[in-house]
Amino acid sequence: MIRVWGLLGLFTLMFLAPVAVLALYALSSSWFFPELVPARFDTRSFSYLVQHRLDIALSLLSSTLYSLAAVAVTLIMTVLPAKQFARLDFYGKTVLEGLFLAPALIPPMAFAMGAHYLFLRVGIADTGLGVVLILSMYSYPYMLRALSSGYQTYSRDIELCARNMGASSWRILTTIELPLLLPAIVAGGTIVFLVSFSEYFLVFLIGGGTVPSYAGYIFPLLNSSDKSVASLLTLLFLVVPIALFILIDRIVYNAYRKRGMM
Amino acid sequence: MMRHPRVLLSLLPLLIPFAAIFLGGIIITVLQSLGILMFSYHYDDIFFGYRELLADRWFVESALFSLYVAATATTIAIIFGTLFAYLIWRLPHRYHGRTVIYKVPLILPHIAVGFMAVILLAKTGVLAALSYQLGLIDSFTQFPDLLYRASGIDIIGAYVYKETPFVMVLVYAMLSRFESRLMDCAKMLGASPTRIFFTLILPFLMPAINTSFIILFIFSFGGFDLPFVLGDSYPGMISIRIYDYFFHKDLALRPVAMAMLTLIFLMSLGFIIAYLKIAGKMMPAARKL
Amino acid sequence: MNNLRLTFALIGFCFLAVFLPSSRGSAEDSFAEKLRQSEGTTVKWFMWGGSPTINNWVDGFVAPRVKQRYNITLQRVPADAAVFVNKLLTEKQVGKATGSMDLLWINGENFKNARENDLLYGPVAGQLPNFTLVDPATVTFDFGYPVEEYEIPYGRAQFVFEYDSAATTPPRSFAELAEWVQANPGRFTYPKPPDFTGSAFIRQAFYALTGGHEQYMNGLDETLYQEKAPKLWAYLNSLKPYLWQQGRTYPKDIGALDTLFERGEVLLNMSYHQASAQSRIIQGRYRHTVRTFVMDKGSIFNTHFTAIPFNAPNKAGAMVVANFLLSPEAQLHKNNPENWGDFTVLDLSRLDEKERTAFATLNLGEATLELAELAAAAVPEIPSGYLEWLERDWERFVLRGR
Repeated sequence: MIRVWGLLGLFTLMFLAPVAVLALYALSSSWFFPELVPARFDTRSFSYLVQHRLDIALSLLSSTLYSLAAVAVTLIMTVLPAKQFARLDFYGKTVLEGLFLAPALIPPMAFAMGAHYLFLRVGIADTGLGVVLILSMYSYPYMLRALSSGYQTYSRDIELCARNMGASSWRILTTIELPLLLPAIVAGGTIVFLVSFSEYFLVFLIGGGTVPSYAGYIFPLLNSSDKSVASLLTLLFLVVPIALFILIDRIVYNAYRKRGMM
Repeated sequence: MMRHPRVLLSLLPLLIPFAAIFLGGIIITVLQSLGILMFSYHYDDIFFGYRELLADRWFVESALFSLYVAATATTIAIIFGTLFAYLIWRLPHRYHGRTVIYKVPLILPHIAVGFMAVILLAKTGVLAALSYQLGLIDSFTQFPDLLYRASGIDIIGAYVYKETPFVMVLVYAMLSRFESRLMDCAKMLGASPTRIFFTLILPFLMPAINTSFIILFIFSFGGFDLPFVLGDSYPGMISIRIYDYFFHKDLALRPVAMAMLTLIFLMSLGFIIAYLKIAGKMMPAARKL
Repeated sequence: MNNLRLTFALIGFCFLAVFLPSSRGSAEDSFAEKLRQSEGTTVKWFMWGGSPTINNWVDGFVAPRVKQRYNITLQRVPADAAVFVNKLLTEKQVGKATGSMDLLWINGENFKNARENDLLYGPVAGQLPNFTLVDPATVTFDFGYPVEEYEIPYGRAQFVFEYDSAATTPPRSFAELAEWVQANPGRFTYPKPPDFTGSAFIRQAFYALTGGHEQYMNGLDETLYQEKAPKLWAYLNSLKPYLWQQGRTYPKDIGALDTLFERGEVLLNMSYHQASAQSRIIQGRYRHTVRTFVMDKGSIFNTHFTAIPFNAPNKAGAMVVANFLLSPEAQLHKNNPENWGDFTVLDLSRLDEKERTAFATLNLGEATLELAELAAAAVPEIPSGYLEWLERDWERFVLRGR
């Protein structure tokens, strides 16, 4: 028991306390050394939130949408290849697999700045499409890895059986593979979503300020000396992913229960 | 692959964007570093960018500084992460769920973590106030300079905060596949917990540790968001130098920025290959990535 | 044959006469046209976004007003001026005829870069009715670069130092500053140029240490610069050991220095907004005893501007917004430290009696210097070529030098 509380205490101190400091800051009007807790509290940051609620909501919504779009695009990009990597052995597989992981390993700046030129030429710089593409390119390896381990968790006999009974490939994909892959999709999608949602630089570079993003919205404020507003807006960063995780968790749980898989 | 046309076909959804955006992007980066495709600018010397860059000692210093920050931060994160994951795993199983709070930094963006580092580490920041209240210092002037230093403590600290949970997730996932009977056996034979950890557990965890090391190392080497929020002076992280060249200097100097990017790309490739070699020697059988 | 040519020339002339907008028409007429065109459109205003006070003013005052009056949706997009000028340059290079930015907040070297690469739409200021309220003589140059109506004036700012009168007695000259810094080691620093305020600080010192601003006002003179600049580097390097963190690092921008000052880590702060101390006292972020001062050798002032990119999708809307920013109503509201505290660019003698009184009776607060004192100290900005040299060499001789 002591071990449990000790570890929990340590984690709270290390991982949670810095976030709690943000909450204190969000409520303070100013915080002078050596006060451990701010001496004066006010609601300045909350009035900023209320006054700018439209902009904030717009940028949060935009970030959420392009991150979800990135999840969808990475899924489409990787669902078929992942199966080949999980099921088949073919010449050059290892090399290709390694190569396909590269975008997550190489610093994204190295290809994004060149890609920006391409996008400018094609006319998709400063557009949501450009942002979704660059984020997908940076984050799909996580989806690929998740899906290939997902494919390894169930036997291909199920598919063979369905095929023998005359099911089409599309039908097999939608009624057998995707439901069985759901946990892997959720796992991969979570990472893709988080990576996209919190990315500042790529969205700023490709979106050029015209694709609203929450990271882009709060960035200049993080540098201002008004720590109170910046803290509150940083805390807000946590809300969307957490809300979405809870939602997904419920949906997946219900989906499985309906199908009697739980 | 030739014998499997269907394999090739089903790889296409990945192959096409990969070739167009990733490879295409890198090729443009390399070309622009040589002064090609530079809009209407013309360079007589195709190595203009590289010459400028090598004449700039600052670039080398930034590269070394970035290496140092990445290596230090990643090593610390690996040690903490492995240890914490092991400690969680040793708890009775029903308590594992409660430790979920360690995942909070995973959701926080890098720019937010950088902001938190400023608040906590400043000379008049929260840690300084805490030290004062505990009687460790009499005035904030005695509190050590932690921010914006050539020691890079602020950047390292922020990366450790952000990366430790990442290591924990990977290592914990690996641990849950560990055959615990092996441990019971070792215990019966009288091995000490420390000995068990180092001779049984750690070798078993090496693949996860290797994977997280290479991912995190290269990420913090070339990462932009965090140092950009923290703001650094001299020599500073290499990504900030590139940003300065790309956005703040004359457009005609863009080949220099692109040359830096090309070098970063080659260095990252070098790290991956070196790592695969080393990791391959250490454990021939284990899957590396 | 000759006849034919003449006929063609005549036809061409008629076409020109019909299709070219009559530049002779009064500004009012064509502006009414702009108002009509911009109904129901969106204007994207790219500007630095690091000050919640300014953001509040734009989002909370300007945006609702232009919506209500002109049915224009104003969108503020936070970005660094150097970055959006660069973006514009790339767009020009790839021939992007319709860009994404309508209005820019810009001045100094960024304006110069934009003009040299022909990135701005104009001349535009003369087309705005409210521009008649400005004395054109006060806005002919922006950091020594001719404006030629490619920028629309928007606000005026002057460099001041800030200190807490309960904590210290401030120096009055750069010589005194050197003594003060030695007496208070670790309690002074300045933002790292090219930060806007940090760069202004070294220019201020440059003027004071090398014999005043007049000599630099006649265009760029490299010999003069090479002769004078070493004095500045010697001075700044002599401060270095006594600066915050022994001058090994500098706050990366004014926001970082503001934080240090707000929390008492340094005792002097600086601002390129003469009323920002008052504004922060009102917000409860500064102690009530904070005051401002200027050095006896003068204090730089500048005018900041808005401008319209060559490929702005909504030029008419941008002009309507820029004209609103120049209205006595907006200028007065902006001048109030409760809202922002940025000084007006209007020539008060061109306003009507009521407006003049409103400006004259504005309560700028105790922390702001008297207008007469500010005006007496005011010296113009340096040509931006010098600015670029100073920033480049600061990096070489002060940041990296020993």
